[in-house]
This record gives sequence, structure tokens and C-alpha cells, in this order.
Amino acid sequence: MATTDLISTTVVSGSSTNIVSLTSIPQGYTDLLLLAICKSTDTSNTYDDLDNEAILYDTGGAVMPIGGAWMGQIAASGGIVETSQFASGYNRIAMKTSNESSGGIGVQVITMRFLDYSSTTVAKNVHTWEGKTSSTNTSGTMSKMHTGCFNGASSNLALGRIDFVLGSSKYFKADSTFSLYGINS
Amino acid sequence: MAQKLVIDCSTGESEYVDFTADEVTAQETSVAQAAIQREAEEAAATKAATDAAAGKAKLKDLGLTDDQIAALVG
Repeated sequence: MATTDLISTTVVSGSSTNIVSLTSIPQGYTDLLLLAICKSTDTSNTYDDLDNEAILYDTGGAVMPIGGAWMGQIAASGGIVETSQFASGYNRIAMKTSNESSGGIGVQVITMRFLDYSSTTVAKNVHTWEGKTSSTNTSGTMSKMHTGCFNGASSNLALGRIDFVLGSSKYFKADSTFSLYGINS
Repeated sequence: MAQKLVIDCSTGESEYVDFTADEVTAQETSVAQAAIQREAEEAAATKAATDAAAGKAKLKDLGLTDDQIAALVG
């Protein structure tokens, strides 16, 4: 029977955090589950305009190459509005953390699952689900899925660090929460 | 000054660290490069979809039925 342990949970304070970096990820679990409930200070963009990234690093500190796809982005007002294929070797997962649209403040929830993240012999797998609401209109409501495989940069190293990076001069709002769980299965 | 929130998952401890000038530059460069790469991939996907639709239209102009086109190209 699978069991889940909370590894760490952190709540952002202040208004100047541009990067949230989860380092020294323990290697003793089968899979990882990351739950991020984010808010951004950006008020000028709607749901699709922020340049936010989740960057994976191997245990040697190098950015991990990723190949994968956006499986689809669905907005309430437009149905499926985007599907695209990442090029092989794409090393970042594109993510949006804007939770504001036309002045409305909603919440974005990001769930990422990393399969066999600690393996040093096989490629790893990442699944990402995103959902976002707007408090004022339907055009800010969006859901999105990604999937991909990743490896160590120079050898098949394990996942050791995950960075969430906002665009320049954009910051996570206070109370944004990042929780990392270990799954034994 | 932008900051990094660094979380040590092995201990659960966290700290805020100010960006260095080099990190500011690196972060801006990284974000810009990612945006360029993403836009290129999106443009390639859009072109592929447009080309596929145009190709199917030409096959239809040649007299093939939708079922025949689907059997050929899916």
C-alpha cells in the first residue's frame, strides 16, 4: 500500500520573492508529489502571459534536460486554446502562476508528480496539472497539463532540486505555499 | 531587491537570500531565452497544424473523400 509523507511545506512571506528553490530533496522515496498554491504580484497580465518556469536540477547541480509536451490548455471562454510539443531536450516546464485577471484575484494550484525521481539508472517522468481561477471573470479561468521525461544532465543522476522562477520584477505574493511530499509505493 | 526563498528539504529549514547582480542578469537572460524557445515551439506547432489542414484541403480538391483522407493521413 502506498504511503505519503510530508517532506516540507513553506509559506512565502513578504513581497520580494522571485524564486522559490526546493533544495536537498531527500532520495529515499519512490516518487515525489509537489503541491503549490501560488499567487503573483503581477497585475498587468491575464492568465497566459507570465514567464514562469519550473526548472529541475540533478543532484550534481546541473539543469536536467526534459523532453515532453503540453497536453492542452483549456480556458473557460475558449475551449482548448493551445497544444504544442516541446522540442527534445527542452529543459524547463513552462508554467503560469498568474492568478489575477482584469484585477480579479484568484488562486492557482499546481500539482507536479515525479516518478522514479531518485533513480540513477532509468529516465524519470514528470506530470504537471495546473488550475487557476479568477474572482471576477471567466476568461481568467484556466487548466493545463504537461508531461515529460527527464534525466541528469551529464549522467543519469537523480532529481535534487526544483526551482520556481517568476519573470523579472514579478514576485510571489505572501501566503503562496509550496509543499513537497514523498510517496512510497 | 529580489530574493530567493531557499528551502532545504532535508531539514525543512528555509531562508531568504538576496539576488546578486550576476543572478539578476542570469535570471533575466534565462527567462528571455525560455520565452524565445517557447514561442518558436508554438510557432512550429501552429505551422504544422496549418500545413496539415492545407494538405488535407488539397487532397479533397483532388476528389478524395474525408474517409479516404483520414485513411491516408489520419
